[in-house]
Amino acid sequence: MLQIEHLTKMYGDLVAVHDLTMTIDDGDIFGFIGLNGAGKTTTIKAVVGIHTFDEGDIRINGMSIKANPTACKRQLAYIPDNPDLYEFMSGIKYLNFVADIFGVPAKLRQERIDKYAGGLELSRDLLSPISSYSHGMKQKLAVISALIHDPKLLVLDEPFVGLDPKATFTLKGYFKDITDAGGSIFFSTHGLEVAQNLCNKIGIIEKGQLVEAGPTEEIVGKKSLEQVFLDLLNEGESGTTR
Amino acid sequence: MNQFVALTRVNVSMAMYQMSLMRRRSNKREGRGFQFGLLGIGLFMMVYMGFMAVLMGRAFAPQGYAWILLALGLLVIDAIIFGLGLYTFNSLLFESNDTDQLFAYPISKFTVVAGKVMGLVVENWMLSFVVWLPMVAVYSYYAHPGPVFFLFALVTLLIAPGIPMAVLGLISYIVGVASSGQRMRKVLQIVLTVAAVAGLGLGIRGAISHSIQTAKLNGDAFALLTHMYPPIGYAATALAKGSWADMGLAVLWNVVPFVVLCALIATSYAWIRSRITTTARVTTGRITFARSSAASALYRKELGRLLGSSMYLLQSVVGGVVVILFAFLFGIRTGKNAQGMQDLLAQLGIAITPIMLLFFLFFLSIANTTSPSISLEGKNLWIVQSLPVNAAQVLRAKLLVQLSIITPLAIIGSFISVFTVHIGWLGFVQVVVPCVMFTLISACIGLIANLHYHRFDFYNDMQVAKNSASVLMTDGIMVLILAVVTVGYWAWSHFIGHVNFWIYWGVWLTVLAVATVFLYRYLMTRGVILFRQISD
Repeated sequence: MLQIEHLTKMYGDLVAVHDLTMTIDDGDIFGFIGLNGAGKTTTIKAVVGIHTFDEGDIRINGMSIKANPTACKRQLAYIPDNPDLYEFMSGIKYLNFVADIFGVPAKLRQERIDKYAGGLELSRDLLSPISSYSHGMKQKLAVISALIHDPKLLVLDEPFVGLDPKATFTLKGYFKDITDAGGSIFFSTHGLEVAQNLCNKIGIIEKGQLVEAGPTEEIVGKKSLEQVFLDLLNEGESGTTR
Repeated sequence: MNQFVALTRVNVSMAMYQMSLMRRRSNKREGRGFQFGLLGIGLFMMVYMGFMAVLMGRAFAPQGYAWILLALGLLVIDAIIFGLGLYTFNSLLFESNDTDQLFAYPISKFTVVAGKVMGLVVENWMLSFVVWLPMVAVYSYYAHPGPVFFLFALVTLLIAPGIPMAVLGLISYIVGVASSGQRMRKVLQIVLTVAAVAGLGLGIRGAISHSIQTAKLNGDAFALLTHMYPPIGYAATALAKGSWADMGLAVLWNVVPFVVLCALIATSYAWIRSRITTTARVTTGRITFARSSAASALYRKELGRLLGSSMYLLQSVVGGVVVILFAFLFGIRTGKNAQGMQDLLAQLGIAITPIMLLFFLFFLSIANTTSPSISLEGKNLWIVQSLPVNAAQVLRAKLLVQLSIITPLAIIGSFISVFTVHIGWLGFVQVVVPCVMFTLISACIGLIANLHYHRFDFYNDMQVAKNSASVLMTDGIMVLILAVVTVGYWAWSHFIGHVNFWIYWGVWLTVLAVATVFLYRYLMTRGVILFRQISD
């Protein structure tokens, strides 16, 4: 589904991501873990076509995001860590806007909006302006807008931040629906427990480099993900000190 | 005091960043060219003001009225501060994103208000300096004042923003107190702004006619000015006579209303802020799921942003609205004697149509929706960048908003002129075609300027729609184009001989059309690349 090959992204002289290679297969839920400033958001923004990059390539279903950005974006949906949406629109106008961009037929969009807005308990607020929404409500609206065109690849940056426990549970259910249908999820998180329980694959990034990636049970083994993560960071720091 | 100084420093820095007058240390290339450009414009303005002051000085100085230069200078400063600060005050005080954070700090509300307002005052000192220095210099040349004059001139510069800022503060306060819903607030802002501009125009007109009549009755011009408008009257008197008492009164008249208003705002600051930031939920209505094309969705999105922000709407569309108002008002003033006026102009070798065209193009040069449109995407930019639309579609939607909003206003204004100023149907064509072409090229220039000079670190729409580098640059370029067309016409007729208007009109239309095609192609090629690179 998603192949990242030797991705390098620089901001001036600063190397944000260096030679990152990883693959996410159909049906995977891939958790992307790292400290603040490790390069998670930069990688995610490169995957969804927001950032250009200096070296390497990103392929979605075999298509390069560099060569075919629009075709790639048709297959994915992205939810940022802070859902800044068009505050001058109402919730329903925003959903119709996204549905128009993806060309979702009226009947289908109605079914999906009913389903997801009902599931996330946002139906009553769809006519209200987004400027009146709380952070969690904006996050829910971003989730609905991401699911409205039935994406094959869902890319999320810290998706559970701001969501109430019930919405978090519902979103996890949607993740499962997507992967059961052959889609894939790629998300960053600081919640190591969530990653360990939810993801079948995990990648750990540190200072722009992928230090570990693979099936969750292989990486974690008999330890907790938290312990593995801290061990990796300590190794990295002692390596740097040396 | 330290808190106040720190807050003022932050607010001044924010204003400077937004206008690209201050550079941030980073690896990215910043707009140094713009800073030099703005410096050049400032110097040009000072030279121009000096030139005008010399012309007036020659007329007034022999009669001992050189001080009128100073009074006029202060009047111009008031008008500039008022004009440029119309929407600034409200946005900065009540709609800034940093306000809630400041309320959480152990700082008094008065300090927050004073710090924010002082940021504006410092901005206005710089603008005032551009006008005031040439006036003071030319006055000194003619009147040879003593050293105390220069001290008074400095004090006057510092207190000059007081009254216009107090009026703006009062408008903001009324808007904040009287409106609870966002829609009501937008309407009130627009109505009060239009009323303030109209009031200013009528006031100046009334003051001039009143002063001429009064001056005929008695010769004490200082007393008259002090009676008419004490803040400037006392200042002008103090400067001309070196009177400490008048200087003291000038300080009181300019500063006290301003401080009182700040105190008044501070007492209900938190309350007004909470009303302004609260948006009512909508619980009734029908949800629709109608489908439209991606291009239409992008266009409606752009239009929604324009209509959803009173700052953006006022700043971008006011020039187009003035075209219609001018066609009406000019017609009302001249309509009864239209033929007589046209005959008079014909004797001077001037036709009414070029005059109308000149005014319309001038108003349209400040009517631009595209120049802040990319900056206004702000933190929403991720949406269009992650959706399956290409950058060309996004840019075209922005161009289309300018065409669909400004062009009809230009057409309506031209149409009205057929009946009010009697330009005839041929005149209608002569006016409307360049106006539409001007709108087209303005849309392209605005978008290109914003692709090169965009900022996403603004804390309210006003900063972008009014003060940002791309907006200032676009307005400046459009005025410059108009100046070249006008000076070219004058130079041709002055140095070469009679100008056939149709030929000149045709040549310029062709030039503008070719330039528009070139700029559009640039937008669809290089502009697309620039748009893709924006978030990097």
